Amino acid sequence: MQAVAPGPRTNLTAEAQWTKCPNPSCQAFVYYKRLQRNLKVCPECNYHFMLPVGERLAQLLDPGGVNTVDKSIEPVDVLGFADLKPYLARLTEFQTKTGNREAALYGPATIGGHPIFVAAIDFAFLGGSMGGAVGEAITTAAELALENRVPLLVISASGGARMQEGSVSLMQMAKTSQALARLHEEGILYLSLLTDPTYGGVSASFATLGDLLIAEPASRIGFSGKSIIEQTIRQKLPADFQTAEFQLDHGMLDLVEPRENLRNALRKILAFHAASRTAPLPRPDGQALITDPTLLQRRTAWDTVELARNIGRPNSLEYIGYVFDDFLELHGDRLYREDAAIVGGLASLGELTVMVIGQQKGHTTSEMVARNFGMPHPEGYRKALRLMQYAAKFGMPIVTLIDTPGAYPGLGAEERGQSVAVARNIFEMSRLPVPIVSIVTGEGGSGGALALGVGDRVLMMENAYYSVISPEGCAVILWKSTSAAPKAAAALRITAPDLLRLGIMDGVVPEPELGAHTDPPATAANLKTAIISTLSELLPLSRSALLEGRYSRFRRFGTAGSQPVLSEVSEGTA
Amino acid sequence: MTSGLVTEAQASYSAGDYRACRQLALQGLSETPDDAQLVWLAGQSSLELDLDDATAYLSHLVQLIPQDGAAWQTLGRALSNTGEMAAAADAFAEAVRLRPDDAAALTDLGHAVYALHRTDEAIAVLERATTQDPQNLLAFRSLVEIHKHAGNLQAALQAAQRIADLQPDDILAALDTAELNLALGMLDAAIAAYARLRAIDVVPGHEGVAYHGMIQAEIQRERWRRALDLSIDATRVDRDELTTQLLAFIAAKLFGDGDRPTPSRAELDAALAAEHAEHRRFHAEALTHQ
Repeated sequence: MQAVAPGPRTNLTAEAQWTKCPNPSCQAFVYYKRLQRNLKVCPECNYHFMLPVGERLAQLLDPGGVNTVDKSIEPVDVLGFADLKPYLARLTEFQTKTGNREAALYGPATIGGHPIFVAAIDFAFLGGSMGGAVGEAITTAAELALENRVPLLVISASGGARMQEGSVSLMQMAKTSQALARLHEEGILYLSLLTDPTYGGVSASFATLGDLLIAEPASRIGFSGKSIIEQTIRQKLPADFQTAEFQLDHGMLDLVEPRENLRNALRKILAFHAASRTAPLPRPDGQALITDPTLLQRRTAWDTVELARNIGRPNSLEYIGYVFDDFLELHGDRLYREDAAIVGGLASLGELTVMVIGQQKGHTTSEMVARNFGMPHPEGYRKALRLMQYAAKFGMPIVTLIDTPGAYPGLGAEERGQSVAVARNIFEMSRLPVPIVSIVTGEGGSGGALALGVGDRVLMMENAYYSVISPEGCAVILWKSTSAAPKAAAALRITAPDLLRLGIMDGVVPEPELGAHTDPPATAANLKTAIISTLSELLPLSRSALLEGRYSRFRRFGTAGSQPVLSEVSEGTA
Repeated sequence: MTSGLVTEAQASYSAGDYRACRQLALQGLSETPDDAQLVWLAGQSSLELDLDDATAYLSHLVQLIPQDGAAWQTLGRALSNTGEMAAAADAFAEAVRLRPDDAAALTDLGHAVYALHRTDEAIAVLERATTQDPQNLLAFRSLVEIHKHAGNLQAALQAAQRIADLQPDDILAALDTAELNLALGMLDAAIAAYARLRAIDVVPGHEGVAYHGMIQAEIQRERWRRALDLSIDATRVDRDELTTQLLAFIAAKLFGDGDRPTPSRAELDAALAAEHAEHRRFHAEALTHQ
């Protein structure tokens, strides 16, 4: 029979048909097409191959890619530099090799239909090093994003500043950063995608200045290289040192997303930001918020404490899952460490985007340990503050879910300024120019709770409690015995009816008769109703009305004549 | 009518318009479902378009023309694309049975059986591929890796040397040749290979890596004076701490300990290994950017 083959493949060289995974611990040879199908991630070990800039953009952007702006990004040999070769000769070499004039390109593009300006660095061009032309590309992209008031996405892959341009390359750190500062002041979203590797002058300027910092798994991100640090300090560094995961654990990144999720993550973030600030809220279908204390269930303060601490009680992430239509968790305080005792991120309530932040516990011992029993360290509060400031920048309402025995009392927490962190949150929350709704969902443990609780409206679940000190702590100090905790709980007036009467709470979210843990979906529906009804009141208010109202709300506490006083004797002292 | 469609589909395929090719092929298959040419065009264009039905069309194709080695090879590639390596190996084996001299089919078979952890068989098949096609870079390159992993450094070196002979500017081959010679204690050859690497690897910063390899070879044979000269040379192009540490180590051997702390040999070896691994990764990744 005559040969019927349609002919050789047209887009691959023979050598590229099988590719050895460069991960030293993986011995796989991967059929090239399979590798491409898998977005150049090894299907055997999940190693993310470096991507040429064109492939990167093709993976992330809508069809059509980046519509490169036809403004020349030209390298300039400002120093007449020569090492073993003249700089100009090196440039020519890499221009020939890559087909690009420089290591960066920029232009308008779309992701999921959302318009953006994108700038991307090509590591294949002189290691993606930043000289004047790269700085020009990033800066111009930022200026165009500002001019067009669309988000900016910068994709970094660089060894750092370009030596061959000397101090002029150093100045690019300032040039790019000041353009991004303008973007920040004008409330334009800046997303930074850090790919393998991102180091030196690039990581220490525009790459880490994003409103959100996103990286691929195992990407190396740092200031100085690992080997230089090891040789300087003469210590062996951990295997994961400076990986994206390491940086996430240390609070420096918002997200580490596998390559297959990156486009969707970017699309989702852009959609959150494209949502209207005046979008109609969904119709609530739970029980209405209770503002009359006589309508609340009667149970002893200690019974309430026990219900608030019930290990089966829904936690923040569960409430977020029930209440919000979409949620993207963000991480990190950008200072020291990721704190799992506080969770937060962008969420959709119908068509409205909000920032939701909550203290997080668990249902098992291991979950509780992982979440430090819901007791945040300073870095948790700093993460919360960072997210609240993010919301304020973009005009998003804030919802906080409070469930903590208290801020963590520990050596490290003190060393890193637990008091300062709590104080700073209270201080900053008082002036954030967006609506804030705070709900105590379980334990409202003192300053550690208030650090998320300076809201325009402060609500609590029917079986939550809120107190200046734990009942046990109070009992030890004043009754000299923990066994007096029930008495202390009663005396402290920590339950919903008393806190409503005291004006500490503006409303109470009803729970099922036996507690939230007996019917989490129904409880969450009531919580959602409370959030929607409260936001409906707050969203129409002007910035000044919001801030004035918040000031007045907390101004009256303890002021004679303004502060309600409980007339009846508490159960604990009766 | 079908022959016209075949011609048209073939032209679309040749022009790289796989979507049009596939559409035409499917149109033809609706009338003549067992037309091998149309089935082939449908399967191969689906493979190009990364569609899962490629395997179905190509499986049908080998039923229609079971004596066609190229058809079996294409089926094997479609199965490799979806990660079905055992079935892919069977298809490639059939292709090789039908065309025992086909170096490309042998190369595919070697990789597929290696994925199934049949290392000895993979080596034998890939060596057959290089016999059939002495310029088969892919097979040689894979043999280097497979032999290295199996601990056959001498065999790995031979394969690396073949690539270097075929492509004198191949950085990965020069690197393999240098490292394998070093590991085998063939230090003159190692130094020559690192010198070659130094000349062809123009990536900024990589010249220092080549110098470090040469210094490592001189340290290995305790030619301290020569190691010192190379280290001094290296400081011209590389001011990283590793060059300084090598210099400090060599100076201590020549002149005794000074005030500056001297790194241990183990520390240096670990640092050099890390540097070489990173250097290798860079160039190995570059192969995939074609």
